[in-house]
Amino acid sequence: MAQVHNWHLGRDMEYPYTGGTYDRQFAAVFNINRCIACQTCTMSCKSTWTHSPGQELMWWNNVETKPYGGYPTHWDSRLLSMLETANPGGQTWTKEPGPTSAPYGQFSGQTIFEAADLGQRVLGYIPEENDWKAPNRFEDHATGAPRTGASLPEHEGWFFYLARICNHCTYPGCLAACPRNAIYKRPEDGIVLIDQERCRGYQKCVEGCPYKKSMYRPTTRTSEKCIACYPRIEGSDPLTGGDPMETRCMTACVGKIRMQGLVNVNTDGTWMNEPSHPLYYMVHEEKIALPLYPQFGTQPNIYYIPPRWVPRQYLYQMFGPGVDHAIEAYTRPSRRLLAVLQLFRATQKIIFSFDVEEGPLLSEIVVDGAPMELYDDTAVGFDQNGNEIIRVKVEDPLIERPGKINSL
Amino acid sequence: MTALTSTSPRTRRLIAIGLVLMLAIGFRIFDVTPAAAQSSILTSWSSTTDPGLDPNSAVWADTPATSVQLTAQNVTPPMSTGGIRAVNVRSVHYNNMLYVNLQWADTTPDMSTASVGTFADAVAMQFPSVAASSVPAICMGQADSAVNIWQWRADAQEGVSLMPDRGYVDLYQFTDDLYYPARAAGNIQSSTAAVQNLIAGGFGTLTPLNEQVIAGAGSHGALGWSVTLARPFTAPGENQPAFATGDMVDVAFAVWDGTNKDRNGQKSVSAFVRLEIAGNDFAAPPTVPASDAPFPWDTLALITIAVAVVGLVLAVFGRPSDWDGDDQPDQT
Repeated sequence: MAQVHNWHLGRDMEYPYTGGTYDRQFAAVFNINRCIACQTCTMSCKSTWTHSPGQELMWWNNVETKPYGGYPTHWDSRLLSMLETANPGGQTWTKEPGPTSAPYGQFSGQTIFEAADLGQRVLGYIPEENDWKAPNRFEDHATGAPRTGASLPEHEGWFFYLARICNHCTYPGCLAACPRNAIYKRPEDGIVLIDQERCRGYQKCVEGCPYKKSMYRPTTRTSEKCIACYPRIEGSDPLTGGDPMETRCMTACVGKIRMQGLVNVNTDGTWMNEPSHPLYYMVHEEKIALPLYPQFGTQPNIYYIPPRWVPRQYLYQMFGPGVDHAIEAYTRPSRRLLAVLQLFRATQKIIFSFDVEEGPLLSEIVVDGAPMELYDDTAVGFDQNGNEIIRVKVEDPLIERPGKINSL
Repeated sequence: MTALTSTSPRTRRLIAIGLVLMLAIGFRIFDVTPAAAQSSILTSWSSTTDPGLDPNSAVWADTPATSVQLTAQNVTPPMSTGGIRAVNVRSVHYNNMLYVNLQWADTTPDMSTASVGTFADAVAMQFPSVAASSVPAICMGQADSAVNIWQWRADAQEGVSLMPDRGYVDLYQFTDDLYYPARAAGNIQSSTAAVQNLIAGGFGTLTPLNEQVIAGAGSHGALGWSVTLARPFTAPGENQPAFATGDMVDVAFAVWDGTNKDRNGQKSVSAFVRLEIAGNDFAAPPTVPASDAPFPWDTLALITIAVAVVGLVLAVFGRPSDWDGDDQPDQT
């Protein structure tokens, strides 16, 4: 086992391989507060990649209703339970939030690599066939019916939608578990792929991925997983004229909850300081977006703006100690953040940097009992060469349709 | 753990020694031989009849079997918990074709990998890839000394299910190989070959050879599997051993039990044993009845001596009950 740095955990950890051999990392921010579980992302992925015989139970993208839903069934609570059994009472966070290398403090418990059974590299399990058969079980199930109506900060009866894809982890559990190096992480974008020529269907990746995003296909006797629509990331889609393009699930998002990009990373897996990169800005400057189950230890690269109405203890378990700050910063966004949030789903091209042009005062509102000023600022997105690709204002422009738009 | 750590160091030593002795006696009683302790010699007898690939061919009934002991693979992760303890090996050659029949006890046949979490029963033979001056590492060989592996899998013999029972699907619009990436990539895993001819030069390097020249078939009966593998004495390519009468070659065996979720390194393995390709002038081989096996006096003597030595050592060097001689109970 090598020692690698996991900035989500704020410490070094054991991993079978040394990391840091790549330059850029595929990453995204999902704003849970806006997700309506329409499953358009799910179907866009399904109709692109997993529609052939043997892929019936395969949903590289899924949206599940928390806390009860899960695809596969109870994937997260099962693994959390296994970790708790391996390290009873020890899965805790200590220390105060620190710099970029430890923004959430320090996790003093065991990761899936550190808690692995003797003779195994990763702690995990293989879900059974039935666990994959009801991907949206418990849809819209709340924890209970509120007696007196719902109000913030925490609803009495609650649920929320969790959209999930492969996290293209910096330290992937699937890659660590594969005994024959059939899984690799691309140096140019950190995308994690299963080599379909080398895979021998051992399903160690299905066992080792804590997010259960590696899936077995019986008609080829190999495992397959999300490929991050890499032809689009590479810019080979003719629509963008060679520019990197966001994945199908991202661009199809009706609720505009998603923004995906490529961030530059240092050799220790931390992000390079790029305050004008929208993802860096949201994750490291504003700290409104948090990794999913960082305690698993894989340093996942999909970041979530946590839902404002959910009991904090549940969110701490799911997103770590950064929850309180994230919700506060999102609820009362800074002028700059409010502008950046408008860039979600404004273009299919990947935004590599942004700028904010200040606009006039729109209105004065009250949030959580305190006044807040809204400005009609303009967010401008740029491609990797610094060319402007999108311009969007905080206030949607008012477009008045003519009474008659055609002969009807 | 708490109970164990609260005992005195001497008691812990005694417990440890006792456990080792019990393990050794247990191995003997239950007829388990650690793989490294084996020195079997297998013989491939000359046959006047073609045994064919039928695992139940009459030829095998007349051929003596050698039981090769297997142990859990516990050298590299993912490790095995063991399971299959021995494989009965029979071998003949006919018309410059080497036939090996492998039988092992497994009452639960695992022939389908049509759903997630299912694994097939399988068996493999491993040879040094060429006549090397040194025998390669038993575990998948090494970079400068590869191994040639013949693996038979029960699920491959059953064939790939094109339409798993997973519910109702209106229409599959795309069913060309392109939409089966592993198949499109030429992965032998997705083919219908029941036997794979592979090469490895270290952990994680197992790769199919271009020359898929191993034939084989398996059959499951009341007691377990019977699998026949066959290959001509000479095979194309430089990575496969050549056979000739009078040769002695090294061979090792591995068995996977699907019920035990065996796959990859999670398997039961043997050490390398010697396989002699007997000359054509050999007549019908002698049969050794099991009752002729000598009583294991040697093992019994070894255990007795070990117990005596341990007792002597403890008597001379063991910690006295009152170490400091102050007539007070010791604080540990």
